[in-house]
Amino acid sequence: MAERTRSLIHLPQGLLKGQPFEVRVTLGHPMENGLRPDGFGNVVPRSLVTHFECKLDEQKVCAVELYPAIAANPYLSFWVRADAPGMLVFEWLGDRGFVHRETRAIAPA
Amino acid sequence: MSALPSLGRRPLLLAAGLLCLQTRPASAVSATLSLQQMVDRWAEGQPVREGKISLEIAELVENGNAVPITVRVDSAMNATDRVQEIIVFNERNPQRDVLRASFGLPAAAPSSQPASGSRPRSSWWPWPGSPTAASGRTVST
Amino acid sequence: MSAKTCCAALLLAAALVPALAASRTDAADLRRSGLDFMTPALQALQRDDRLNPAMLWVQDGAALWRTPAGTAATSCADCHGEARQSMAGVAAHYPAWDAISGQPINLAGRIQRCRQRHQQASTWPNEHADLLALDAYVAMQSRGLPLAPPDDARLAPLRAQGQALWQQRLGQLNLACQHCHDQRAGQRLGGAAIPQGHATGYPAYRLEWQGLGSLQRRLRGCLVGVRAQPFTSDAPEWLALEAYLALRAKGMAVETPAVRP
Repeated sequence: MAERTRSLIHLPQGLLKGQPFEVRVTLGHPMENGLRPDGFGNVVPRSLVTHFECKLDEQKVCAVELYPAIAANPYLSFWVRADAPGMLVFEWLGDRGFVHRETRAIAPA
Repeated sequence: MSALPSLGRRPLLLAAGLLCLQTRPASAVSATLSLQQMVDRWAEGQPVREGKISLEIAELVENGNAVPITVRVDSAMNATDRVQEIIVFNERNPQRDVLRASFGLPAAAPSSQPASGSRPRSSWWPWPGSPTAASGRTVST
Repeated sequence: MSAKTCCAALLLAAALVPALAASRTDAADLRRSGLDFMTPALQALQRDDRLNPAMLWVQDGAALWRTPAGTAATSCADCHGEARQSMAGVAAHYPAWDAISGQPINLAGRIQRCRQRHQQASTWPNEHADLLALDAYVAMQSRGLPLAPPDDARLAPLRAQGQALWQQRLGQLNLACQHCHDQRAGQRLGGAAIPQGHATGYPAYRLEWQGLGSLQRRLRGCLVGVRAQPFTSDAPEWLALEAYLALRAKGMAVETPAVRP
């Protein structure tokens, strides 16, 4: 279980149609920037998440390019407005073919 | 960091953004550019104005490994007045980019903001040496 | 910042802390959590579960709580039910005395013993992500409750050993824990505010590690910081210090999972 990619997705309760709501996502990832030496003086190889995208029913909400300046376990929050029930899709892409995808169905009242 | 509120500029600046991404080498070439050069290159000749953006970041941080930042842009986020991109640069890291975020139609302005203006807001955690050195001036077009 | 203004008061607190450990109502409690020494941005990280990166581990811990393990194929939930009820207040009473082994034990050790005795599962190595996850998840069920180390005479020798270590000069820098955390709490070391060193939030997410770690890991960092040879990973000194720190912080609120610089 320690090797599985973890993420936290927070959506508020009680969504209303057309009412903006805040989405907060955290991805468990070391975000190794490839510049840091380990205890033996060897540079730890780069391993970064470089891209995050959130879509609502195939429509882009936001797409974020992440660079080495982003800290480990990257956290993002942004606001979304939904006028109807739909599916939020969250996708992270990174070095060495890293992919993590989460989906959350929303049903604004 | 910068944001692009004008809808009319979208096609041009989207192209400019893609141009930057395609021509930028994979290595840290951007380390040789100053903050101003990064902003100018990204703006591609468009006038860069100040205002409309605030960057919330602690002036002194206990540990540069993870610094919470919040970017707020004064925009109604409706059909005619939208933020298309938020970009954060830094001055002291080996690479100038921190983050580039683009927004689609479902992106909204916070609903519980004071009446002075609705603003889309995003929060990130950058790494050591990032905007603390570069901030002091916000940029917009 | 408030930490600097109460620096003078904290110098006096060096003498008051043993007395405070006995009764919290004797005098104005000058003890402050490490949370109070952080900037508002970091405090917000700890206070908001939607921001706290330690919740990645807590989420794992909640899943592990329900996952069968070992040859007995039982989960924690099979015996203990909902952690929110059964584990409330538990972490506040550790380190405690383990009657079966006849030794003192901390919460992580108790989880390991449960795995061995009741799940017939192997124990995890120190700092294993799953152990930290369960430790954080269980300890979080006591969040907000006052630390209440057991009034158990069998723990007295361990606590005395911990207190002696706290006051013993160590390492090339020849400093004892008390020199910084009792006598100079609120002052600055290399630009960072020196906290009082109350271990109320472990396992904690440390920005320095960019991950969750145990109290032992933090204490090990302190020893390396004074250029001392750290104790071996299974040395009794770690538990002795933990037991003394729990007594020293008696009555302060459990904060697990904390965020620290």
